[in-house]
Amino acid sequence: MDPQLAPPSTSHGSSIRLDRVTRSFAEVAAVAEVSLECAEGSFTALVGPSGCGKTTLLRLMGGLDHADRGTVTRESMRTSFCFQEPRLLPWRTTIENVALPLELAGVPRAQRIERANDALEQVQLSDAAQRFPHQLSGGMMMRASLARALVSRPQLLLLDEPFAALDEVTRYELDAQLRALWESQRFTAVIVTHSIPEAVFLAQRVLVFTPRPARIIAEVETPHDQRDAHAWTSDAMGTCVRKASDFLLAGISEQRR
Amino acid sequence: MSARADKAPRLTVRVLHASAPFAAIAVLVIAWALIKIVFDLQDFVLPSPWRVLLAFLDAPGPFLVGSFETALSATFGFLIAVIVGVSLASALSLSRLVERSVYPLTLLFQMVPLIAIAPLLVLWFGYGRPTIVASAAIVSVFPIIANTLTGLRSRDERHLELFTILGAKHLTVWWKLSLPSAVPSIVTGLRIAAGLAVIGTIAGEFIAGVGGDRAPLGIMITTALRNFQTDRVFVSVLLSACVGFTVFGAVSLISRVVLARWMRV
Repeated sequence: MDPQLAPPSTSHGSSIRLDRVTRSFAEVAAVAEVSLECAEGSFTALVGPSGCGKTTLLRLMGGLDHADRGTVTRESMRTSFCFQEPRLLPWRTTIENVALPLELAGVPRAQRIERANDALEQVQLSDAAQRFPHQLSGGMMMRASLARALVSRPQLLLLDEPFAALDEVTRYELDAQLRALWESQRFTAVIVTHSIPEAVFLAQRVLVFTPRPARIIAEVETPHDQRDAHAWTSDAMGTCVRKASDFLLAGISEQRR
Repeated sequence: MSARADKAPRLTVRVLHASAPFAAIAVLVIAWALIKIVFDLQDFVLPSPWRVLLAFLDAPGPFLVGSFETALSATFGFLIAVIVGVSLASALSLSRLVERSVYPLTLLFQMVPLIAIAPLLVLWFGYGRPTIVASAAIVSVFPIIANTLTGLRSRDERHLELFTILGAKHLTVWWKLSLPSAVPSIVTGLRIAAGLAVIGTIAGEFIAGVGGDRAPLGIMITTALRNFQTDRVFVSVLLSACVGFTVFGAVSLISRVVLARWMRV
C-alpha cells in the first residue's frame, strides 16, 4: 500500500536518534557532538540562544543537511517539515498548497482533495480553501503550512519556529491547536523555538542548548499531563519555565566566561 | 465629507486618465498640421492629417486587407517564437552544461542583423509568407528565450527546499515549481516579443513581400514610396502601428485572463 494512503493509526512506530552528531560551516562548528533520541509519539522542544545551531540540528533530523560526523537514524517513513515561513506557492490556492505533498506522491486528485480538506478542517481553515496566499493573514498562512505538513499523515513532524513571526494571541491559539493535534494523532514532534513558555506548553520535554556550537546542557521534563485552558499561567508551568530559563542563562554565562 | 462629494473628484480623475492618451494624440495631430502650414511643406514631403485620412477613406479595402495580412504573419511568427523560445529556454534550464554551450549561440544569433540574413531566408523559404513569418519569429524569439530563462532561474530556493523534502524529482520540480515561478517573467517576454513580431513582419515584407490584391502593409509602404504617394505611406505606417498595438493588446489581454492567478503574485 502506498504509504501516503495508509490510514492514520494511534500508535506510530517512528523515532529519531542522533549519535554524536557534528556539523560545521566554513570551519565554524554549529552543532558539536550532539546525541539525542526522540521516542515514538513524543513531543520534544529544542530551545537555545539565537544562532546556536538548533535549526541546523532540525535540518539534520529532516535530512535537509548532512552531518560531518556522527549518525542520524530516522526510522520514520513519513517526515514532514514546518518551516519558519509558510512557503506557500503564491499561484496555488490554499487547498492546492495543502494537497501538494500528496500530489507529488502521486495520490489521485479526488483523494488528495478530500484529505487536504480534512487537514484544513483540522487547523480550522476550511473557509479559506479557495483563497490564494496573498488573501490570507500571517496566522492563516501558518495554519495552511501546518495543514500541508499534516496532510501526508506524518510519523515525524519537525517544526522550525513555525509561529515565531505571529502576534502573541494568534501564537497562543496555534500552539493550542498544534498541541491538540498532537494529542489526537500522536506523531513524533520536534519543535525548535526561542520561547521557553511555548516549549514548555507544547512539549513533554525541553532540551536546552548552549550558545554555538549547540550542545545539550539540560533536559527538562514538563508537566504535560496537567494541561488545561489555563496551562499557560499554572504554577507547574511557571516552575518548569523558570527551570529551563535558568539552565539557558547559565549556559550563556558559562560560554561568556 | 459626504459620499457624493467623495465620488465627484474620483470620477474627474478617472475621466482625465481615460482621455489622456486621446488628448496626446490630438496634440500630436495639431502639431503635425501646424508644422505643415508653418514650414509650407509639399504634400509628398509631409501630407496633412486630413489628406492622410482622405487617402484611407478613399479606398479603405486594400489597407484593411494589408493590415489583416500583416497581422496574420505577425501572429504566426509570434506563435512560432513562443513555441521555440519557451521550449529552447526550458531545455537550456534543465542542464547547466547545455545552457553554457547553447545560450551564447542564441545570443550570437540575436546579434546578427535581420537584413544580413534576409537573403538567406529568401533563398530557403522563397518570396511570400514563409520568409515574412520566419523574419517575425527570428526578431521576436530572443526576448522570450531570455525572459523564460531568467524566470526559470528565479525560483525561490526556499520553495526548492520544500520540494526536496517532499521528494520531488528533477522534472517534477521543473514542471510544478520552476515553470510556474517563471510565468510572470515569460509574460513580460511575450509582451516585448508581440511588438517585435510586427516590426519583424514589416521588415520581412520589405524584403520578401509579394504585391497584388492581398499586398501586406510592408509592400504597400514600398509601393507608395516609389510612387511618391506619401499620404498612402502615412496610412500604412499608422496601420502598422495599429497592428502592433492590437497584437500587443491581445497578448496582454490573454495573459491577464489565462494567467490571472500569477498576475496577483
